[in-house]
Amino acid sequence: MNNRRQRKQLLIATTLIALVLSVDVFSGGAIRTSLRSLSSAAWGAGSSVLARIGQSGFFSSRASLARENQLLKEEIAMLQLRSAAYSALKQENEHLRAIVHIAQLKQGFTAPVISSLRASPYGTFMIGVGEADGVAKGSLVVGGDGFVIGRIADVSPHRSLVSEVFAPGTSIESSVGGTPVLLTGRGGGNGVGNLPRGTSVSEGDPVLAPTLGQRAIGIVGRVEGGAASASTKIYVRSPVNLESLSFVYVELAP
Amino acid sequence: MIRILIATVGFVGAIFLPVWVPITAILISAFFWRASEAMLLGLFVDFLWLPVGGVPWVTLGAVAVVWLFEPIRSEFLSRQ
Repeated sequence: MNNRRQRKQLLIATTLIALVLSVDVFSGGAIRTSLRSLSSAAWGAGSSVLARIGQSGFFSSRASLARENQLLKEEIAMLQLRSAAYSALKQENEHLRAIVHIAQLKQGFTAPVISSLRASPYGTFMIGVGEADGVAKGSLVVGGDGFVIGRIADVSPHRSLVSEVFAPGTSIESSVGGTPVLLTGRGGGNGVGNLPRGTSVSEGDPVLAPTLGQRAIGIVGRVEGGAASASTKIYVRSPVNLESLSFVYVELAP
Repeated sequence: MIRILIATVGFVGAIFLPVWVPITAILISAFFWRASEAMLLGLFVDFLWLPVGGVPWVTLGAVAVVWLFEPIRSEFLSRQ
């Protein structure tokens, strides 16, 4: 009898979950907007507490090693970023020379990241600007040196949800050295794709996205497949370190 | 008590920690109890991270595991 009653309660809970989900979808995301505002407040408070613990010296030896390691990683990333940015700019310059009439001035502003960058199963994160600041759904979100890291997926008055270019399971049309390739996102700023056999590609080559106005979205991190392979597999990564991202640049639609 | 602790870790993890933390909390809760909080946790994750219009995979997954584990719970576990 008790068993049946508990099962009935579970059924009611399931129905309620479906109801709440439906209400949110039909209200254009009203419930999730409120929840995100609470979550970003919790994130802000939690981050500052963690920062204070880190500064207190309690984990000083471990923290210093981690800091040194992080600095070295950042130095390597910066060098790679500069090299890739140069190649990307060179390629972009050539492209703009050919079609100079589409050159546009990109307007936008810097926005703080107000959520975890690794908690989302959908490759999304929150930033602290919204509709009130002029952000619109679909606006490009750019990291260091102009690499596009995502697009605005949801907007509320004072915060927005960004969907990463390489969100898990998503596909994006790209080109490497002029050869088109469909990249599949793997999350964390990584993507993978297959190029036709014999395509000249090497590590460090910039990857552009025609659907994002030929903007750079990453660099080739690894190339797999020899002359005997049917295709060349490329692993692409964003040179922007998503783990340590604290600010992004949001481009306003022209 | 353990049930509350797992749910709390799941909800906090949904905001601060990698996604496998709330997913593990959902699986453990759903396996041992008739856990409506597991479905709520799935909904929480989707509301936080999923753009409007997307398929709420975590909620659907949570509902699925809660109901899929139901026969196992009824058969083998006394805590329901």
